[in-house]
Amino acid sequence: MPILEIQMVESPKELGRLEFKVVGTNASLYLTKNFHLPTVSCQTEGWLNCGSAIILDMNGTVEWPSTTSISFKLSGIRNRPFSGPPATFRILTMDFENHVTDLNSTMQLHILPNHIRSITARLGSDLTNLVMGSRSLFCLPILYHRNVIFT
Amino acid sequence: MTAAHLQIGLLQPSSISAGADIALEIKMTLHGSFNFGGTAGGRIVIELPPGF
Repeated sequence: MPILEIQMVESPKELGRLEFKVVGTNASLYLTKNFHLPTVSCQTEGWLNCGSAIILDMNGTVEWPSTTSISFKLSGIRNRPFSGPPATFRILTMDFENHVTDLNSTMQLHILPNHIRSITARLGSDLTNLVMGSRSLFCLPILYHRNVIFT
Repeated sequence: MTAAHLQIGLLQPSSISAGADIALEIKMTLHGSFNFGGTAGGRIVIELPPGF
């Protein structure tokens, strides 16, 4: 099984561009080059709306036939900073004419919350004149954020 | 030209906590050939989800 171990070279200096390098491989017949993200137009869309990709250009002239198994280990990736909907990966291979030859878009990760595991709120004294039910307590952090104290 | 269904045997992050720095291990099996002999080669593209 060909193995490629890839590591990010340094922290990204611009949105949508990361540099990767090969730190280990046993696939000596399958030459590789240029592990990088292409420049993508993330500047106006914003990081959360703009996906990024790792592209591995194969420079070799040895065929990777059907049933070939490949193993990657990518390091230097940071998980999305929030939980919520599943994070979907799309992995594909392309031939030299940029035709997609293999595609998988079903792999998902379920990200767990990290920092805040529980939170309680109590009201500041200047809100004591308000009449509140149990539901409105949960609305107050948005409407009167500076008067709610989180502990 | 219809793409074959790439079989992913493993997509394993070292952590699934939000915001964590991780290593991502992927094992896959090709069902469509690429990088034919005598050509300029092919490429593998791993599209990360938004926010990564």
